[in-house]
Amino acid sequence: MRKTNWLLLALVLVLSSFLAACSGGSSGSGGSGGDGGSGDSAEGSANGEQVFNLLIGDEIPSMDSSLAKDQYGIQWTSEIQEGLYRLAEDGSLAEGIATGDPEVSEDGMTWTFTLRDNAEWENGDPVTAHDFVYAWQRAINPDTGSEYGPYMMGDVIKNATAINQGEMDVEELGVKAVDDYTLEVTLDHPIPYFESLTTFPTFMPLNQKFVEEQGENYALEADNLLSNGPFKMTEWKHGSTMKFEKNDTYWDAENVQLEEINLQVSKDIATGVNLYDTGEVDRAPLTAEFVDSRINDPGYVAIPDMASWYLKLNQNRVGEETPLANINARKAVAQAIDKEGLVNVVLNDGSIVSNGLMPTDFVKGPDGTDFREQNGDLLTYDLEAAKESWTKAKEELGQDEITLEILTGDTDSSTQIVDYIKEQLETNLEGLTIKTMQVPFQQRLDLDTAGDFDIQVSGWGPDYMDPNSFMNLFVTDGENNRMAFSNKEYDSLVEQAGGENATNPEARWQNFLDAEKILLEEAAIAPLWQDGNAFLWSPKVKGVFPNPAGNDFEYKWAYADNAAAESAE
Amino acid sequence: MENQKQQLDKNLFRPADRTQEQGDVIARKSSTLLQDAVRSLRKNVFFMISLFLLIVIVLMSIFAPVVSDYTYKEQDLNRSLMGPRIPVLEDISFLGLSGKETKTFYGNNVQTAEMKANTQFDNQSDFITFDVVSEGDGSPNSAEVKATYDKYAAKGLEDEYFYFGTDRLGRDVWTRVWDGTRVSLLIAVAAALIDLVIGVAYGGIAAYYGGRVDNFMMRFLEVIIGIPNLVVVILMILILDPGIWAIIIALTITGWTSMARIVRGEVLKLKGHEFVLASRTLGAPNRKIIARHLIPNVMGLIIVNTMFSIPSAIFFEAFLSFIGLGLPSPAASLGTLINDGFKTLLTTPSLLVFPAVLISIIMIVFNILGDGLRDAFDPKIRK
Amino acid sequence: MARYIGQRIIYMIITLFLIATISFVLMKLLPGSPLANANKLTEEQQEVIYEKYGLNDPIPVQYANYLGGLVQGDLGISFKYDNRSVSDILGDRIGPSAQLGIQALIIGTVLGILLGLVSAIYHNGITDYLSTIIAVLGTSIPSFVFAGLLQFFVAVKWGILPVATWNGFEYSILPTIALAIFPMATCARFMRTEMIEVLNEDYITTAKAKGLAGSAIIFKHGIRNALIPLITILGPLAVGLLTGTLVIEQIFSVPGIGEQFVTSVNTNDFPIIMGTTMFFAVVFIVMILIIDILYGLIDPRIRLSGKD
Repeated sequence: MRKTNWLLLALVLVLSSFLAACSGGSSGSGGSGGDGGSGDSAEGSANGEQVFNLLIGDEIPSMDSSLAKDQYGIQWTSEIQEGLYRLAEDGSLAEGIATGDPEVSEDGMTWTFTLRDNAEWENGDPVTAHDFVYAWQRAINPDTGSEYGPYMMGDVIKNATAINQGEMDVEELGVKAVDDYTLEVTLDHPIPYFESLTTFPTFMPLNQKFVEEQGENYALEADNLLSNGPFKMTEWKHGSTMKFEKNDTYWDAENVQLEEINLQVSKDIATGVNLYDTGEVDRAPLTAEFVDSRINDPGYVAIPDMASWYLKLNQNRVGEETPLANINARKAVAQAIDKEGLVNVVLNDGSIVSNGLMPTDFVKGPDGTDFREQNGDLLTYDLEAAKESWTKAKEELGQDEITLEILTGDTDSSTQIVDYIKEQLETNLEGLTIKTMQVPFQQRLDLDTAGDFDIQVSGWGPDYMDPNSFMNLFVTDGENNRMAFSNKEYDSLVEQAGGENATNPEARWQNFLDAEKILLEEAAIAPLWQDGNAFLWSPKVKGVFPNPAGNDFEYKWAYADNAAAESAE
Repeated sequence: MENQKQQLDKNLFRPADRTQEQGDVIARKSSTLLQDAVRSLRKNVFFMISLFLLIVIVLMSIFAPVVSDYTYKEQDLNRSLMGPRIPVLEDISFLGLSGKETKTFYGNNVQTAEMKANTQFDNQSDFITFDVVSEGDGSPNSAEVKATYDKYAAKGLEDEYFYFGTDRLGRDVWTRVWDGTRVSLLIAVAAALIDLVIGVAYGGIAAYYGGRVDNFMMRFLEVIIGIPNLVVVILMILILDPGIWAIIIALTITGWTSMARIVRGEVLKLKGHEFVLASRTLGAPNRKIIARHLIPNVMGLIIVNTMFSIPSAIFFEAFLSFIGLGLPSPAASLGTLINDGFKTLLTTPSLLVFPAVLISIIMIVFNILGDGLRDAFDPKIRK
Repeated sequence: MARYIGQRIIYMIITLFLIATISFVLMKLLPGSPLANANKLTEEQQEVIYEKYGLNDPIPVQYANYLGGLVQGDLGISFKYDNRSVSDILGDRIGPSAQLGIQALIIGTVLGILLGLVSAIYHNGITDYLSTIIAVLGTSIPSFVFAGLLQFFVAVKWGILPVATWNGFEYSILPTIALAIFPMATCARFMRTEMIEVLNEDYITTAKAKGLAGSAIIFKHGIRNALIPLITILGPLAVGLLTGTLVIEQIFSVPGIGEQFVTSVNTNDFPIIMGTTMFFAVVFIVMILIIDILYGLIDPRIRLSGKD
């Protein structure tokens, strides 16, 4: 399933170093920001009615920031609420409720944030450090049943894991309000990218009085929400339409130009395109079929996404060694798929070939070089090498005919992708038979957890901006490994990056570079492509920043340039 | 006279061995219900045409994929989304079977319109011919150019003929359509037959015995119907390997119920008729009443209903594809092909048109066959 | 009659209990995790969340809790839509589905009956063939292809009606038409078959012999008798509409139950799946009851045999 829970980044916008943290007052870019990846560099200004009509692929499962767990929940809680920082243009960090940079203790374990004293909740209450303490404790509390709570905080904030397992009281969580406007966080171990985590909904503050007053009804309807962010939710017709309006009590309301965002639920791509054509919505996602015919449309945009797709090559299936335990077999599979054809013809949505795990333009090193650029192409399509490895593998395994099962989602695009991969592998590797197993997403997760597959088409989009979000995936027995890959050197490199080198950016960076090399030398995974998202995007929609992590788009600085829309017609 | 009479030996005569019943025998060989039906069907032109079409379709679905130069799963991205091209017919321009793509482009002037055509058609300017409809005056989209792109030539496939074109992965749609037809027919017919056997037996028994038996059987039926098919289908696909049989079983596990209900309703009605009462009074056993009186009389309804369960089986299969529970790829059925084609309705309609037309023909054929059969089996309707 | 209905209601409750049990067992057999991010969590972390939903309890306890909830009309809390009760979710979505279903059923059956009647009365005439062709096309063209065509031509090309979404009556017209095609065609074919048979019955001949006018025969004797078998298919057609709306609901972005059901099946939202199953079951069983009562009212012979 192609869940684009993930990150987007404008092709034209070069990602500036996110590690450079926020610069005070960077929010001043409001009103003159980029044009949201429309690829057209013409600057415009807000004019006409400040309203966007957008599509949303599904009902929002939850507007409760502690519980938000999918792209829509993360997207829209991020607009009505604000955490310590906010993702801004190019994935940089802008000030949120926190002002200036945090104060970090020498051991990197204690972070102190100073909060602004002019931030208010919609009901007039000030936003204080206590609101953060309450929200963080709530997210990790086992009674809340949050998915992202333990995922984002476990092993990050002191005692989080123990609290989630019910072994400690929530009061023990490593976060405290020194005074109303000073928040002190104690980490489990030094985490250089902690600031970037705080933009995520799980770390957003909650007004304890309001939440407890609402009780079971909190966040179930538009009326049961309390905003401290640039927008507030004013209407929520479940499964149908949603309305967000500018929040005048927001501390930076003067820099919010957009008055209203209307969302319309539509799951069908063709319907979305029709709605765009009749002018009812300002943006519609496209699939390969529509890209063919709309590539000349003035509104056509392809935005790269930070999700990386690869084949997980399982070496041990439920206690039994698979042919893929043989490194030559893995190399053969990884090199036998023509990825150019895959991205240009099958996907055809701006996706690009991937020859490593880390996506292009996601993170930059201390010297400003892109990770992907520095590590280069590690595992490419190479038919000769693939055939050679395959012959060797068959000899070593003593088998002439090998059957492998490939697990994938059941959406239309995954059908095409798996058909293509099957045909490529069967044609290019003699004696290989591929059985396809297409199951719904949830079932795939289950089979993945059980390690019950030979090959799996799998994608990963990062939840925070650090190489670690990709590189810790395949440590021995990691939650996402589940393919019996185990390499001591890889494990120790990732551990070093999170431990002894945590405060040494250069060494840490090198650790990650080396780890990725090992991963692909071992052909633990077969990289396939990096996602792209194609849209029909009205020229009037400006200043929308695609984010590499967290919420897909940031609307705080967005504005409608109706004149641009008219001149384009 | 008297002499002559005496001359004949009495022994020459034997008493005629003839009973009253024999006297009632009709000399002409009596035709059975079946023979009777066949005779009337032969006279039905639509029926015969449909039968012929059905045979052609069945034969094509068996042999076309075998004879074809391509297989249903063979891919080549170089020939992705080729238009349909059929020998001879390619020269008749309005049919659109030449494999060439024609599209109209607009621009401020002819040049920009042509440039747009170029980008749209893989930048293969050598293989695009332009037909300027309107020169334009420099204002936005005033120029109109009709561009025709010979994709077969551009891709160096002048000698290839994809009768129905190719899909995104470059698979031959002609082969896939016939292959899919075979799969769909198999699923539908198997499902319909199983529905028929179970449904008729169940409904007939329930209605005939009535009372407690009927009540119990109907309660059980309601339980089965009350469970949404989808849940059952998912369970089936879990237990069985996804594929043709999983779908057939999933379809029949709930599909027979409508047949059972209809048969029951009809039999209940017939039970009250005088001829059944008469037969019963004369002491005919249950078996005989069911076989002789009830079944022939509900036959029309059964046939019509079976003819309905074939399209509904094909529908349900397509519906399953729609929600991602259909046949596993790359196998094709008409359902999955239509479903895929629907996604490209606005961009590459040919992927939808061919399987959709074929499925419609199959439905029509089955409907006419059903009508004909019903008329033939039902003496009341026969003209 | 009252006793008969009372008896039927007792049976209904037994049926519902059986359906609840079967759907519970099926749910327990379904594969897949209910968590949206199972791949990000350790097994211990997953256990914590299961605890909240009572999924760590022994199966019999879960079953008892489920049945206990059902009796009180509590269908549980959704997994995907955090803290939202299944009854609320269904309540939000029943309106559009019911509206579409009822509109389509009325239009479909009325047009279908008319079409079938015309066919039968002018049996084998040109009108018959024409309406047969319409009926055949109606059953042949999958509803979603038809929906796509309607959307493309009526909404996009001609701009007469809105393309999709659900913001008023005019938004319901296209989905209703797309949905009504199948019941219309089905009714037309059924009506035709029945009407032809009825018109060949002895009592019609008698009526003709008595010199009754053609229209009187058709309306007084023909239609009434031909409608009886039609009623038996109305129930399944109506429920089919309710479940069948999901494709149409998806294409036209209608926030109905069918669309929700598919989403829930794909995300393993057990409480919603079970709740919707129970909901469909209740609707269906009530519908069957109503039809059986109607059946008895229309055809006295069935009422008699139904009583003994």
